[in-house]
Amino acid sequence: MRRIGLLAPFALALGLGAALPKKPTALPQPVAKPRVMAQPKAAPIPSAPPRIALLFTGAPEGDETTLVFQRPGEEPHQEGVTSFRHLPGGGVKGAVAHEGEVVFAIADVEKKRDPSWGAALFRLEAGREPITLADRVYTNTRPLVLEDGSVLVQRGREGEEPSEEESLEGRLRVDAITIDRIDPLTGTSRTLHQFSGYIAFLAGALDNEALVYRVAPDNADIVAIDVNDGRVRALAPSILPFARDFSVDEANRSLFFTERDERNSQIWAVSRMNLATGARTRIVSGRRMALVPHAFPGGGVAFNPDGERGLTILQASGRVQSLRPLGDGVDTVRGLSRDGKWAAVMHSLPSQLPTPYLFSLETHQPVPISAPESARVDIAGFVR
Amino acid sequence: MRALVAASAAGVIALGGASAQAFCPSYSASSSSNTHGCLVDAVPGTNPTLAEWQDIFDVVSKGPAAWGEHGPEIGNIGQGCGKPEPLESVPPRFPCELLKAIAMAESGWRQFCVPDRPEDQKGGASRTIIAFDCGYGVGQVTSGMREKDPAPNYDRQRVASDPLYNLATGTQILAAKWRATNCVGDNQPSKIEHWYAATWAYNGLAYVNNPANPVYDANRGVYNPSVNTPAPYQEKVFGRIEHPTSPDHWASIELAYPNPGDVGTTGKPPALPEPTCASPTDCVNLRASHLSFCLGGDPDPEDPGSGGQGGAGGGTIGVDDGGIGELPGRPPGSGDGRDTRDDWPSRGRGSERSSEMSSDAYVVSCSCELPGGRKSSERGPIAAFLAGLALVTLRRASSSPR
Repeated sequence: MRRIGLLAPFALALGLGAALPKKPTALPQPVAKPRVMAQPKAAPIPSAPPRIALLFTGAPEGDETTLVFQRPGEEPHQEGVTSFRHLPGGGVKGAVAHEGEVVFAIADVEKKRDPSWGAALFRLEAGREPITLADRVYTNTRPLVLEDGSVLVQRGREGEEPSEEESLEGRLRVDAITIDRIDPLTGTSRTLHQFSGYIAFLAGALDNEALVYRVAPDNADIVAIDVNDGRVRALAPSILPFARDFSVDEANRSLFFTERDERNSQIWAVSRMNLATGARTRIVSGRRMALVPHAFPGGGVAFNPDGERGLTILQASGRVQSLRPLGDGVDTVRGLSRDGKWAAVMHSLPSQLPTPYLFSLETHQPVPISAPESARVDIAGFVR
Repeated sequence: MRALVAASAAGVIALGGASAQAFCPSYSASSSSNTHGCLVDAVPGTNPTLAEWQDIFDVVSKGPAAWGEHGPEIGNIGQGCGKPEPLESVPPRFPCELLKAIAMAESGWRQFCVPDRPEDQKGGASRTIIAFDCGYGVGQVTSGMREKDPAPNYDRQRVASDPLYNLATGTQILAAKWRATNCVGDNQPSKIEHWYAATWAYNGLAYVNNPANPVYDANRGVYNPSVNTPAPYQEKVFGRIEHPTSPDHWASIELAYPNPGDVGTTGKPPALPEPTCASPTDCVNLRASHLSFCLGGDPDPEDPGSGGQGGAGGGTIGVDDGGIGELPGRPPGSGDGRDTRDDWPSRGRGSERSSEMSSDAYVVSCSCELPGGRKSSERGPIAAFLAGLALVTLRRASSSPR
């Protein structure tokens, strides 16, 4: 089941369907086996795939994550350059600094019944021991690396549990949240923004502003926060509390994200928000939330039609390109290479580990990323 | 630094994993590591066998009427939410499937084990499992077990020493959460899915368990413990019911989920219609809701089908005007102020809603439900494509008004 899920998309994309096993195999074992896809002999790769930084964590209960640099499509020799320990299970998410070989990662470290503020920010690089830079970070979030290499994270402390009366009124626990700017070398923290609410999710950054999606008991909004002086600029003062999967379009100075339709709770939409005015335009919609937009070069946007039909590009011209390199499923674009020729993508099917791959924007061919079969993989980004 | 040498051309990386079963804390009252004020010392005991656990779950699921003096007293809970059954106060009872999954998530069905932490408690006789935060035993009962807590209306010592009493005490807390949360469907305690909001609250009314929290994958689907994708607590419990630890623990049940577009407000879950979604992230494919097998339910409820009537058991999908609790305020910025639930009754006609979405160019109408009840995503893409094509053809052929 698991292995077919991983292998089938690539095999089918490469015309190897007949070689697939007919029955599902057993669930993955704790000790990893290589999750390597057949290399396409006929598929042309005009540009050499760039190197990427990957974080491998054993699933389901791995308590150690390994940083690996890999150039997909080449001999999949891979070397873990460093690893760090954290709580078993849970999500580990990373981000590279300026295509360099420093990776920042967030993972759960504090065992708590409510994991909200139990994660930490780590600095990882070859030849050095991992460094814990910040604690009290929100679980399962990704660090946001700024141009100067400093890192933004969402941190906080649990508020009081709602009283019985408050609970009956519909209150959830309100936490004391900060957006902190962390020095990448020393871990020195500077609070840019304070917020009392449920979450202050880092949606991206443009120029000197961090874009933050905030949810509080009586409101949800999107604001831009100056990363130097913390000044707040309202972009969407009041939106439904269903925003997710944000992607900044630098060229067009806008933010793509998914939100729920305001009138029909069964409909989800990709919206583009003008980062100068806050004006929002609906781009596409579907019946699942997994539309997962990502800004593409030339003003286009990648998304997944109806939240299950794979990588599709809506060009700025309005033309739709259904690419679906691995077929049905959801393709989450993790990033684009600096030269704009490659996308790093995670292909996911519900209830299964996602499959990472590179996608050539020149040939529209997928290139497999080698990963242990039972590993949870995170693509931290492209490196030099 | 750790060099991961490729053991073959493929590059084998061995990733260590921790076993949740091996984890056995015992932060006993007398431990020098008891920093949270745990009040009761661990009690020596042998963990019940699988068969004994089954008997315990069976008794506890039937509530105080079944356990008598072997558990604490629990007040009545509400049943019915006017859809159509009017609210009435009834003795509490609990789906055994839910209790089993919660207990598996909390303790791995362990009241007693040989401690592996803290240092001064390691080894020795098997005794009460006590988490660092004073979660005691199989149900990880925390409230009332710490110095800072007011005196509870149960026997703390028995929570530590008696698996049945411990589990029954856990249901006392669950019943309190049932009372404190809004109706799901028609608020039937014997229906597993109707415990969605109470299960969320059992872990704390925090936003981290909100299915609309953007930290969770939009395509995560039903939680599978063998994959362990991050998910809200209540989804983990429901996913465990579908993915049992073994067939000897419980039979798999494919639970239905509330529409995430309804659940994720800025407060606790509002009153919700009958859950009919096939997963926490998929309301295109539908599922029936389930009566607990321990409470007289049919293990094979009627299948709502992807093109048939929405909701099992005739679940009415309509506007809820409260019952146990009041409706919270309308989500901010909800356009014209119309409650989105006004749209729900139409969903009962089936899953094809493409006509209502015709203004959006990229809404695809095929739900691609395959024969046998499995989703297309679980089959190969070619099979899914062919089945989907056939289904679309069939649906289009039969789409004329009845």
